[in-house]
Amino acid sequence: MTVQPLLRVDDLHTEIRLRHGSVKAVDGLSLDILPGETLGVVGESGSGKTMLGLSIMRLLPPGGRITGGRILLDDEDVVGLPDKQMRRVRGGKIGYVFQDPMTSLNPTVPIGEQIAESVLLHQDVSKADARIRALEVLEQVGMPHAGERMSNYPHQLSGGLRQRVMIAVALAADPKLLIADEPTTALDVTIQEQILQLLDELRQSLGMAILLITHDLGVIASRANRVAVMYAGRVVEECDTASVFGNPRHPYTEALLAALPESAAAAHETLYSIPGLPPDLTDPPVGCRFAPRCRYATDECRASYPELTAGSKHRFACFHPTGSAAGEAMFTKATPVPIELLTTAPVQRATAEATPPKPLLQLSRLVKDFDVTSGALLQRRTGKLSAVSDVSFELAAGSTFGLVGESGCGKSTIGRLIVGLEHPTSGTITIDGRDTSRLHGRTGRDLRTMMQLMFQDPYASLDPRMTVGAIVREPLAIQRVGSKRDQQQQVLKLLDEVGLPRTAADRYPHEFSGGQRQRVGLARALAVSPKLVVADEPVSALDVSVQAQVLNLMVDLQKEHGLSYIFISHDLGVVRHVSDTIGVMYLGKLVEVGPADDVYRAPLHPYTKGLLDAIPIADPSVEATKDRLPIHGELPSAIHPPTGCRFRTRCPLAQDICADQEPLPVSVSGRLVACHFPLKVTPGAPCADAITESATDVLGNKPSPTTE
Amino acid sequence: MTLGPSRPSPAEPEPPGPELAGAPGADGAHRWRALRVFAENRLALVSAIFLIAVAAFCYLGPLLHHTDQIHTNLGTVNAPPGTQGHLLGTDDQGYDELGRLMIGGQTSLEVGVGAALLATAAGAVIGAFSGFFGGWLDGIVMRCVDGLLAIPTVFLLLLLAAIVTPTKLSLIVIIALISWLVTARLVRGEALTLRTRDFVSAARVMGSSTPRTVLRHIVPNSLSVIVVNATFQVADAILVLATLSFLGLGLPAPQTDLGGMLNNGMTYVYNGTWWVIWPAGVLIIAIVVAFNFIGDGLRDAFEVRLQRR
Repeated sequence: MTVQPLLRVDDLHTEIRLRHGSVKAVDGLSLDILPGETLGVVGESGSGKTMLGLSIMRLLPPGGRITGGRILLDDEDVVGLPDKQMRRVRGGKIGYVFQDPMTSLNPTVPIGEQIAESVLLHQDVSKADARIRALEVLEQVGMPHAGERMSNYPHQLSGGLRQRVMIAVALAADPKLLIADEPTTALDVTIQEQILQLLDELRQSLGMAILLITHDLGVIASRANRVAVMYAGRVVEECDTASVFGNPRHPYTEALLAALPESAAAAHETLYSIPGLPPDLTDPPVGCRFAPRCRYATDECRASYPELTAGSKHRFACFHPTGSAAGEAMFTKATPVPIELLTTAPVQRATAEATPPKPLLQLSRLVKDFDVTSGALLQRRTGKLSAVSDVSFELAAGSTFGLVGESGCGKSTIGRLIVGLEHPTSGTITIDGRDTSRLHGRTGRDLRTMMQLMFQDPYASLDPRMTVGAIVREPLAIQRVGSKRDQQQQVLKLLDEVGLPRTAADRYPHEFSGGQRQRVGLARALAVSPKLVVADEPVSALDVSVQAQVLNLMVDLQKEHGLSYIFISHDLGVVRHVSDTIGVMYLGKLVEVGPADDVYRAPLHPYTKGLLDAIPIADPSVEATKDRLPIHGELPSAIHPPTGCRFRTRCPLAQDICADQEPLPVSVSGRLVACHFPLKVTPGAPCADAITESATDVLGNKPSPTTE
Repeated sequence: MTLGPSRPSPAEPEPPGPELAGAPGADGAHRWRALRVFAENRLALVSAIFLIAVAAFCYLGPLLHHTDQIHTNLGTVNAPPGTQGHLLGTDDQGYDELGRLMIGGQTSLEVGVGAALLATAAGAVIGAFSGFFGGWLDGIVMRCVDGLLAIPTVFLLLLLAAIVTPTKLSLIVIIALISWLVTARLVRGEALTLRTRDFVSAARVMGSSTPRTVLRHIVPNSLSVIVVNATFQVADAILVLATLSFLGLGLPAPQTDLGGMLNNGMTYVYNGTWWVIWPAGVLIIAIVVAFNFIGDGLRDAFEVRLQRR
């Protein structure tokens, strides 16, 4: 007997009218959500996954409307419901958690009232009862000191706590279905882990269903029972999580999984990237929408759209599914020729291992404090924010140093210090043996050209009023390199190198996609032939498939030009893929430095371990067997950092000594770790043993590096 | 004035936009689109056409309608419309009212546009540098602006106009002196947000000097604010000029402007000689309103980046 679905979406069509034409954001989509399950909807931006969620709530943006299909909630079609009854459904039967908890909470109303408001709207209770219910829900979502927090305003809470409030608002009226649209995208991984855990627990204890919308395959793998993969407004594959990840049938799903940095066979290896971009949904192609980017595609695919296979548990919409004989035959024929790299073998890496070359960049005891001021006119200094505290590391020429940590740990500040956008409070930065603190005049200009910065946001980092040609030429014009004609030649050469057509030079940034803009940013950074590029979250704003393209390009250019990178990211998977050495930062301190794979496989610092555990891996089998060392709580304020070890307030292994003495970086099997109780490197052994052992070992004063 | 390209809001990482579609003439297409948005605002379009007609009337009119606007003719004073070829009659000095309207309109337009351009240029540069530098420089500049804004405009105008002999040029400078303040404030606000943007940081990493960064990045990106504000400034300047002339501190006879004509006519307000008041008054209102509508239309054309999707 089949279970009656809680929500059935049947052939849904949603359009958004534009000034000219309309975008078919959701185009013939069918889905079932069973009671009590988590259905993960995954897709790249623009795939229509958010529009699906908003269609179910009938909260489409201006110009958006449902043009066809049915949405059955308990056998009641919500598409045709009058607004008055729809309001009963919204919040009452379906709760919605938005991505950004800062903008979706009212900043002028205490959180307790906001939750109570939701109760009052849907239940016939007194104000006092609504407040009691609000407190109850707030406790349910794990808000510490819920009673006191009731009168807090949203800005007094951290991002993670605000998202808990959002969930509380959504849960207040006891909905049967919770739609969570990218609920953790704006949060750090350790907080993300906490929120996902909470959603899971709530689902089980309240028996509700969750529609989890996300772009992150890892989040889906760890939390969803079933997965629907969306592409260009349609579901292309749908099945239980293990099958989708273990045995993807649709080429798009397969390509998405292959494009993840984690799935590369080895670090620095060329990632599989999906060529091209998703189709323009104002005028979608007739055939399979993935066909132009698909390596299995035939004329059949381009001529007609494959319907979702009916009946079977594993549904997919493809004529040549992966794994089928026909599909495999196509695959061998149509495999793209792997990109030939210009230099064979990683030359620099080989020499790097033989004789350590002179470091290109040296940071020594770098400190950066920001003054915290108050008062509009006199700007009295009321405290200092310790953004970077005593950080030292070296970077060899031609190699990549990956800097990871949560937001607010000071990793971006280090990047800005290196390129001279900020001046250090103390400590030195030397590049090629020269101190950058004396970056003035002509020598300063020379030094500047050696270091360039690549930005996170490909929309904000390019001047919207300049053509791409002018943007790439700007550094050359500023440094007065050659004549104007030479500069223009150089621009065309750079565009070739980053894989952009030469016609791009005359066009404006907004005509390009995020990935293409990031290529422009890279071309600009390379214009003055720098030796070091500081890449600050260069791929975090990009979709997985495009991210792979940009990462491949960065690695290729590194080999070609002997570049060094400082690669700053919160994504350990990406950092591991591109980096030779990883530095893990926590609250302004470098807590662990070591070779990328070693740090990734066997972390020494409890924070590194916690961070690694919190990152969702796009593989349900790994997720299930993860031996977690959860990090509790939130990042403390950098204005009043904890005494001793800054991580001790969240560390599961913290002892008294951690509060008294600051752990100094010590060398443990070729890696530096700043911890009194570093985890033991014992491959295969359960971690818990290692921890207790090393902890009892070192209850003395000096942390003895216990390895093997 | 350049109608720059629009940009989508940065919150949306990957618009399903066309990949390098329609490569040639893309730039022209954007100007064209901005123009179309402007034209979609009917009021702005009508206003623009109206202003072109007014300019043609003021500058080409005298070629067709020859009148003596230098010598008074006391023989035909306050003649009603239609007498002796005076289509709109004559005023108290015997000047032909229609011809008077043309040269008065010339003055008003010239002083209005001139003062607005000067005030906008000065205000934009001062505001952009002030906002970009921030800190003590910004503090000093903005306190000066606040101080000047606190003095009643009319008082300041009377003082300045009493010191300087009114000519077209001196009036332009005087009016610009009091109108740059608002522009400076607006542009400074833009500069404050722009200077933290990544592309400005990028320019600094390349070693771009401060004046270059301000002129190449800050000012062009504040262009929408500047241009829209400039149209409002024209309207304001015409009104200020009218006020000055109305108070008798305008251009000396036989020169005149629309405000001066109004002042003249006021003496005869109870005589039933409507033709010395109404045409000038209506023309001032119409011009000012038209400039304001154009400002609204331009704002839509620039802001279209926000409603593109």
